[in-house]
Amino acid sequence: MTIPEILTYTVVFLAMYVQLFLLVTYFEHRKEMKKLKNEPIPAVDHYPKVAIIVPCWNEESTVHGTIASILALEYPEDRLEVIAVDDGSTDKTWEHLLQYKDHPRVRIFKKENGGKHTAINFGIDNTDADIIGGLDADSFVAPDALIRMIGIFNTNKDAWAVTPSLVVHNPKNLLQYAQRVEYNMSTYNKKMLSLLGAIHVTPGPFSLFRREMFAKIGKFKKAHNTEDQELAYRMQENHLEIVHSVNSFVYTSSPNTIKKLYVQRLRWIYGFIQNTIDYRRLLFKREYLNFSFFTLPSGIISIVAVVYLAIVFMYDAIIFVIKKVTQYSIAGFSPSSAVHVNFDWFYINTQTVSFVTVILYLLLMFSIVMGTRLNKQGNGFHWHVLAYMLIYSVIAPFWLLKAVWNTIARRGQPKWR
Amino acid sequence: MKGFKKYFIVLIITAAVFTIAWYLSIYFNQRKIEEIKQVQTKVTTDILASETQFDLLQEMSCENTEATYLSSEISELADKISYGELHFSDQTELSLLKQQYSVLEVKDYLLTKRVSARCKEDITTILYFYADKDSCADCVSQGYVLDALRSQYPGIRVYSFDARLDSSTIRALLSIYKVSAALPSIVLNDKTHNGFVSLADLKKMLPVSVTAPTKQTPATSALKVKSPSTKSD
Repeated sequence: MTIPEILTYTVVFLAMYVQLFLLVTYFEHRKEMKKLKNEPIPAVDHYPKVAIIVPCWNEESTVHGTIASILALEYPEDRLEVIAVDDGSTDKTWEHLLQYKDHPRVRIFKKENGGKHTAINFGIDNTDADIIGGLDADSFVAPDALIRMIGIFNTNKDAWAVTPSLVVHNPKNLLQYAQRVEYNMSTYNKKMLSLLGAIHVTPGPFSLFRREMFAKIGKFKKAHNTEDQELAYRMQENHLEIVHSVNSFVYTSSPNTIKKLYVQRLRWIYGFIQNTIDYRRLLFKREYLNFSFFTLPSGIISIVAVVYLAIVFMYDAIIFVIKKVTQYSIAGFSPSSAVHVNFDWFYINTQTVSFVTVILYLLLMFSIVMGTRLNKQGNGFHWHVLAYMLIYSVIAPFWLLKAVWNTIARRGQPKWR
Repeated sequence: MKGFKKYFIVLIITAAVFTIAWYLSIYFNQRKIEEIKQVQTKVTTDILASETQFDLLQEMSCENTEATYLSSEISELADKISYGELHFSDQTELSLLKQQYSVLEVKDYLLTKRVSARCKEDITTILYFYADKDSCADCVSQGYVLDALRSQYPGIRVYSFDARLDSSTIRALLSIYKVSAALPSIVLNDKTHNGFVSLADLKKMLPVSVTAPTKQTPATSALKVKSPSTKSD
């Protein structure tokens, strides 16, 4: 066996291990998972005061919808407030916010631009609510989401944060449909991580926290522009449980161009790498069990796997092109030098790695189908899955490679947008 | 499952999945070897039948010889052996099949020459001796040239031999045609050319009967060049 073959088998083995770990977790909790399908809205007898902070930076086109969706939440009006913080917008966001200046449930603030984490922290400093959350101004929340999440806070005193399921809002092009597939799969993964007590991110859209948590471990930090990841890492370090509420849906806008998606994902992956480096002390420590032995290593494995396979693919592609160019320069073009497809079963690759790869894809399909059902986006398979696999297998290596390169070359954090 | 028990169980499951995949791979590769053997048997039978037909034709006319000699499966056999060299983990059995294939090639070559002489047909034959690219850097390029030549002149019969193969038949050919150790080597109509031969030079060496468009023999009786350059087809 050659060194590249050994590396390939190692990468595929680890990727398979991660997927099987999630699958075993699912079957461990399958009864609980089945109940989620028709989970009723919990009967709540205690309504803690809730503040939802909306950090705004140039969000003139979406901020109304965001605030409106919060005000439409099924929750006692006197127990819910909106804190909109204009983080030095240069467009007409502030003018739009001024329409709420006399609203009894909305408070508006304007500050100099300091980054998203400063806007949220500003909101935290200006509220006495028991439960505090944020909602990015490009997201909309389902009316029953809050009451479901409060139900978890009321029944699970160890829950210090509750995260929602994210659904891509109103996809219009193939790229956005592909992202919807990814978000659906992410809901399944997030739920599994929640069951393992090992969530590594409290997403900006509508994650809720107990107020005391900020007093206990501090507020948001800049954290390489991934403050929602860093806070989750800090919570895990302090053994503060994060629970995922599957049926609390938040609809979020997704990048509609490859360039925007690239910028977003570069920021996320770079943030993951940097936060993992910053919190490397949590890796392989018995006291942090699943977060330490599964979540962080599986994130690292996925990056290494994609980067390695991308390099192998590019190497093979370059060799192929060189071969064809050489062939052309020596012998000119001939039909025999063109690529041809042979449909004889004999030529189907039956090496071990092929079978393992097929099984790996089936496991991924299971995650996608389960996630799609959890997100109530249908019963499972949709042709968008193919678009997701095709698009992401082509473009994901680029932001992963760039994030790794930025880390190695110490290029600094990517921009927000 | 608490603690690390699940980690261990998942490790066992993952190893089991890999083991099953490994067994599946062995099973299907064995099926492929069996298929190669079947094709090989078919080719052997075809050549034997052709030789018998040829013996019969000694006493008859040459009108229908084109349709009787040369097995069409020999090209398929070459493709499958080349594929197996690239993708099978166990090469022992394949190496034996490759030796048998070389013998079949030689039989086919001899039969072609007999038909050519008996029926007064100008059939151009090329014996191509190659080795893997580590020991023969020019063999890849020579393979491209022969592929192109075959594409332009389908009537030419090219027989490729791995000169490093442990085969008494190939050793005999190397000795008969005085093929040097410096590969590649080409034997065009019984004349040996050691070293790389460009497409242009090779075309100049071809008899007029081949280069003239009306004198080509049917493509169905053609063999594809098998060399390191074509292994990835």
